[in-house]
Amino acid sequence: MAENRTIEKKPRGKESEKKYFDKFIAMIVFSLFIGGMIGFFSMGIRDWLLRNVRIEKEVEALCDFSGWIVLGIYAAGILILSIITLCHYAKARKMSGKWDGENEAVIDVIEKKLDIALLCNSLLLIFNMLFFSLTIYASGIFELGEKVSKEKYYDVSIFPVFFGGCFIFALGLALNIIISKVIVDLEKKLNPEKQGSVFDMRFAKKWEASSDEAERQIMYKAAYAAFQAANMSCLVIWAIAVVIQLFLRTGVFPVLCICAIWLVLNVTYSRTAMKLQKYK
Amino acid sequence: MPLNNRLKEYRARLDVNQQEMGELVGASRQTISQIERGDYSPSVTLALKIAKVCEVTVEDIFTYEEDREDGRE
Repeated sequence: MAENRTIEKKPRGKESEKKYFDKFIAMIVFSLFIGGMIGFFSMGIRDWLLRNVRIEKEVEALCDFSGWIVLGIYAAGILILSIITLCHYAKARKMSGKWDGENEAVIDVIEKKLDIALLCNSLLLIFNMLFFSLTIYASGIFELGEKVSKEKYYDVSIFPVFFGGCFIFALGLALNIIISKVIVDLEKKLNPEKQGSVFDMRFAKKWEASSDEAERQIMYKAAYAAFQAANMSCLVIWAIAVVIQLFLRTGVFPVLCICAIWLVLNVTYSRTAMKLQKYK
Repeated sequence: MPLNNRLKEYRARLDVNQQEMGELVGASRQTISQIERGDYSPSVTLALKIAKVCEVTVEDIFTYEEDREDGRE
């Protein structure tokens, strides 16, 4: 009988907690040891490299072409990512035209193709942002004033690389917006209840509002996975930035940027959680 | 899955596709598809809406089976 049932209480599991705590402490000690070793030896390695490794000529030769090399990779990357994205979108669109509204196998493939297209489009945006900065830096435009005033000379490739980079950046952004628009339009065609325009600044909110409980659950689970991945990435990139700071004297700016992202991430998470728990 | 359902069967009785079923209960086609496949357990509200549209009780469509490991019988 239900009234007579007793609820068994599971043991608190202090042993397993102790095991995890021990592992945690061991990991912290190990990380500190590795970090300390890297920090200690990095100074010596840096001095040794400066004294013994002579690659100035090779680096100089590479630097002469670095602008063009980076520009070439930039253009090729944008082209390849755009083609992959558009191929997936085109396949999804073609299949959607033949979908009878019932066949689940077909719509599953269409949705998967659109998801891949969206992911590739995000990669296109990030690649565009990264390589725009790299190309501008590699073009040598920042040293132009110094070169002209001191050496009365400047490399003729500076302007073609700089403007080439600007052109590819604008092209990449335009492609990005167009691809986002066509993907969202197709999603809206397949799911008429969906709302929002990619040109609307409140697109994400409107899209979320027009999603139902199962779709929101997917969004929230994916967002939590992204939060965890971002937290771990911040930790790893921070460690790398600190080591590179010792080797290359990059200053505190990279570490400041990483910590700013880390701060925003965790404060936003905690604030939102507190709001949802309705703490006063 | 502990939550079994006969939504596909009841949807067939209504002679509607997943999109139309979604419109009837205020959910998306994907959600109906996920429920039918057993990949998603709907909220109480959605389960009640589905039952209302199908003109049956929630228990007619959804049945809960305890996992053997969790069962205390």
